[in-house]
Amino acid sequence: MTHKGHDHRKCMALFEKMSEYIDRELDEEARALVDAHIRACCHCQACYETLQRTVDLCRSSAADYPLPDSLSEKLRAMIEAAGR
Amino acid sequence: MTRREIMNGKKTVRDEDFELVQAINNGRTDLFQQLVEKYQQKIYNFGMRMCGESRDAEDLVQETFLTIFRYLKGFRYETRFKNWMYRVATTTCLKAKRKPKHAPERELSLEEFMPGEGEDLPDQAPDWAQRPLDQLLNEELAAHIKNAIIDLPKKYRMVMVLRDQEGFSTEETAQMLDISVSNAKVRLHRARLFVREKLKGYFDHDA
Repeated sequence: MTHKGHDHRKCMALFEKMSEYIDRELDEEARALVDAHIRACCHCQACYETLQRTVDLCRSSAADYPLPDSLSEKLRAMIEAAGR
Repeated sequence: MTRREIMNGKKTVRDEDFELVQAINNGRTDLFQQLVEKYQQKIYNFGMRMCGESRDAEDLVQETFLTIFRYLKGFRYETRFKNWMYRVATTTCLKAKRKPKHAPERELSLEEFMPGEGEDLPDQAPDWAQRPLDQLLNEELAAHIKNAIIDLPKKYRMVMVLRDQEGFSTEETAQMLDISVSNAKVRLHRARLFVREKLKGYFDHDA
């Protein structure tokens, strides 16, 4: 994330805050600074897009796992035994 | 619908499970099965995401519901029941002995994900970050993501699973794990960077 023509420290500062930016956890001022930097720096834009995509993929791939057939019965028996 | 009330000077959360939990605690222990049926899928999913194997996930589900059954009377409605249940599940998971095949417990540093000096950096995001999500995600990629998350050290994996797969907020995650909000954010960011590196490797290999 080095881009000629602007301050490299801004890239590093953004790198640290990128998840908070994605999660909309930055205050308005900090968010505006990140917005402006991303528009000006193609490397940070690319970095942001790959991290955002990583988050989207993790969320979208989180489907239900098939429950083992015996699990419900095991839980019922376990709770009955514990309640005696 | 969740409502927060002040009762006897204490904050009480009235969530969708409030009446059921109260009935169980007032002697209707036969209704506990309803809680199990409602949440067994969620806790099993959580177990699979944390452990990666069905047998370990089953153990986690059993241990979690047994602990809830024993300690439900101590639940004070200071949080949603679901959050308390996940707190029990995360504690159970953290107590479980580390499996040799799992990633070693180590710190992930931000530096290890930063580009090196003079490294040639892309001017634009790769194809996998730009293509529509539904054209990208398939069973093979989902399995790769699952394995990437399993490869995370446990304390980072736990935060990422709770935030990006179970859908809890940063504050809820921090509360469940008894860590600060800023610590939860740091762990989540490093976990995401770790998984992103694994995805880059997957797509570069595929290219």
